[in-house]
Amino acid sequence: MGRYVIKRVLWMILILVAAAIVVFTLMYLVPGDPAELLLGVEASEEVLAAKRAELGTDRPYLIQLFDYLYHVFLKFDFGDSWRYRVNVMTELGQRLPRTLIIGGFGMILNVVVGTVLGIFAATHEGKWQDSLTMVIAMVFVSAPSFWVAWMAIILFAQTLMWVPPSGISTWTCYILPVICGSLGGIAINARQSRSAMLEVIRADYITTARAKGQREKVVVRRHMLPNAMMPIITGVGGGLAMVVAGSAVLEQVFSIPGIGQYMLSGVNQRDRPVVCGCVVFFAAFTSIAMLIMDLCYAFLDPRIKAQYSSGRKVK
Amino acid sequence: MTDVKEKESAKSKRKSSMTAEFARRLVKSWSAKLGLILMLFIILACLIGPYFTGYDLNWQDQSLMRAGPSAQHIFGCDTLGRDMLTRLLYGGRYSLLMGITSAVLGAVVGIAIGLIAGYFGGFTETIIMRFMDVWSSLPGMLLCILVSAAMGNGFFPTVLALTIGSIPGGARMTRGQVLSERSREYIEAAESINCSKLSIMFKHLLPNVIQPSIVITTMSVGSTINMAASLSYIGLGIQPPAPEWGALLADGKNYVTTNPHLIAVPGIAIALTVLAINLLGDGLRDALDPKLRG
Amino acid sequence: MENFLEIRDLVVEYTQNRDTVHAVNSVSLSLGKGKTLGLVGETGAGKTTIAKSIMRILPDVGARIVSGEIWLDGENLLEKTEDEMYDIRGSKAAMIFQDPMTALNPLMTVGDQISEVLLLHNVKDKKEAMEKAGDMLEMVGIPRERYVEYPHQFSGGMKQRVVIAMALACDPELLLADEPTTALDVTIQAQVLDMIRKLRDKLNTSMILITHDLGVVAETCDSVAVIYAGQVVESGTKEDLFDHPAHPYTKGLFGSLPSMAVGEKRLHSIKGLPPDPTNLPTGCAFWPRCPYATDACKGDSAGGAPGISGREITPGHFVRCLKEV
Repeated sequence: MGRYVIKRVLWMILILVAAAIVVFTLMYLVPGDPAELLLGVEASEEVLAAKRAELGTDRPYLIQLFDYLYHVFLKFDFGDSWRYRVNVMTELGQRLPRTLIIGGFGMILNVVVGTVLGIFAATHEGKWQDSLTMVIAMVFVSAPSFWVAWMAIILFAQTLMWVPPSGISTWTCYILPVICGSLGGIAINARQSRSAMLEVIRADYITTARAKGQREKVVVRRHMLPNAMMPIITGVGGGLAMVVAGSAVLEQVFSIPGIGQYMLSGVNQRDRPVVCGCVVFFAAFTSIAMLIMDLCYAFLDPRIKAQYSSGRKVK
Repeated sequence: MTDVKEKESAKSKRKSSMTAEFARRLVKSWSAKLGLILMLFIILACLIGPYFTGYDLNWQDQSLMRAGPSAQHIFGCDTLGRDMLTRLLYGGRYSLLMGITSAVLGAVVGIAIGLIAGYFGGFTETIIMRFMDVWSSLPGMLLCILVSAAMGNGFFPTVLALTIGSIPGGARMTRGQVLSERSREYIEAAESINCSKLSIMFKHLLPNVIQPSIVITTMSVGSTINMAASLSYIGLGIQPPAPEWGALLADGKNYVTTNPHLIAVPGIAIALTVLAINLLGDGLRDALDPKLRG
Repeated sequence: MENFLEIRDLVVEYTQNRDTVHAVNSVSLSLGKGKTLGLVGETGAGKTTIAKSIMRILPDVGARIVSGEIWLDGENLLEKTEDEMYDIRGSKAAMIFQDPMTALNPLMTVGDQISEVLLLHNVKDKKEAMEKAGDMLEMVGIPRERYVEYPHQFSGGMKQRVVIAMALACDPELLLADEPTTALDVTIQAQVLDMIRKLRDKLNTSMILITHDLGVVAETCDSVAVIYAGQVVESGTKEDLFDHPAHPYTKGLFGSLPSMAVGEKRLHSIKGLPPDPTNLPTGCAFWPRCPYATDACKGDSAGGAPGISGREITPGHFVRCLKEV
């Protein structure tokens, strides 16, 4: 098991390096001269050349890439923002808590509410409770999340005035973003956990458990839930990716100065260090979450555990 | 002789009854029916609707800037005083075309990659799947944002961005399917009579692994339309004055609080379309594989 | 009640996409203490549904026991509350399932799955249950050290042994064995069957053995009931049916056994396919495939079939056919 974890962590670092290469290359391909973008078209050629030298963009692609990778992975330095001259790492650190609140609480809501709704629907299969839950879930899977957020702002912030529409001045500001950010994920998770449950409900070993004379409640708790957990965990992983990607758009809607908004402003201003820093951060966040998910799998399922520890123990 | 004939007729009977069974289940599923009807309605409306609204795409009346719904303009007018309904219907063509193109392109490439990885196995598989790992370590939306930023705005760059974002999912799923099918006896049988690798992959494996891909592709048309809208909203992808639905939203985003119809209308259009596609996808899944119902 | 198990006019239906599947149509069966009844018939004839009805473990959604009585040891199981059934399932009546690959919970050790049933009925103490579960494993020929292993570490035959150990753990008085050997290799089949027989004799258990293997019936059962389209078409002692089959379907079944006699060149089969259970033929369900069918067999215009309700040709030998032998 330990060896497996080490292997996975090493592999994760490799993936992060690759992701950094991809994002750096994509941002390198963005049309336009960064120096000119910063100083405007009127700037003289000497000033521009000085700026390019300062940013290091006058060097060949490969040199720039390796320089960047060296700083990120060996010195943990994402560099300074081209436009604001602020260290990206510092900025990320300041913005992290806000994104974590939205992402973390969103994730918790996603897992808890989504799974509970899915199980509720599955155990009422074919009845109106099931249909209603699934219709609502379908609507939230389909509607664009930022649009739902706008509608929520109009209703709850503007009309009912229960919460502020944007900003981060009080904790109530976070209520709408957290809920709106998790709605889509909750809906997807509810649908997935419902099908997972349904598959398990029809499994033969459930009939076996009933044939033993086991109480229905215990059958659900001891036999159904653990088996349904596998696909549900996979769903949670997908939901996490959604939360990460969605945070960019969501922070924009609610004017929350988080990492997602930082990245978007970087994209709009072609600020390469900012974009690369944010994306590498997001990739690291997702990878760590995936790793935890895989470990959960191994912990829950003896079949997967056996695969991982097969080097140690021969059957 | 008669035995052979009987067998043949039984075989064709079974095949046709499988198709019939599929059609029967599809028609029986209310979600498929509803999705199909909605979808046909939306496509028809976008194709021929613009000619019946009474306004041209660029017809403009500055006195009607951001005007709310009225008898002349049932969905109101946009920020420049153009008829919202007309723009919405024209825009649907962009959104649908973009969603379908990207999802199908992504699926085709993804399936091909998954087939190759799953069938060849070994080193080829390792390389391809490791590559996919990197590819999908960035959530699809982030990748779209980056590619969009690098390629610039407009229809084709956006289609490219959306396609790239949707490839790894299809590849992973196809590979999983291929892995479980590869060990089946009909593949061994095909190999034993010296079928070429290409013919095994496309004639024998593909039909057996494609069903879940069809469902996923249908669903991803919907999520692609959603993603395109998000891209437009954050200033990438397709931008105003193009009437694409996301661009309509982006156009109205500064008036969310004052003129909600500017975003309510295109938003509802997107939600309804994606809903129709998802319903259809659900129905397809039920009809293809009753086991997977849910 | 002289018989240990008596099923009277059992009717079970499934609802599937608004179609009604007539799975079991007025089935009556009886079984004496310590005896074995073989249920024979094609796949989909309703054999498993009968067994699951006795246990009352039909799926919640779609399946419905429409009418009938199931008397076990003087009590009508269909009138019992779910709470009362908990005490009967697994202890008084137990079931062995068809597919050992899927019948075990993949996330629980096999030992825990056996002690689960023990703790529910006979044993209060966890330690004692583990001890007894170990005994059960040894009884079915698995070393007790494998208590802590998971189902994926066992082969198919071994898993079926675990399933059997689980079913027999609480010394059930009635054992329902649903094709216990179908999913196994031929060599393992004989071993498993032999084991079931030995355990049955040792514990004096009554057993219903569901199978489509007539050889197994001949070796194991005292009496036989032939099921076709959810109906008992013929029932009697093993000798009655093997030596004097009366129903055309039974004859067809036995006819399809390959015989070693000289001169036999081809396998015999019953022409046609079993009827669609959502749309059963009127009259006798077998008439479309029956070589002796007359107009009377097709039932009257009202869909009824006077006379096709079963008759006793010799004491204890029932047949559901108009035709005189």
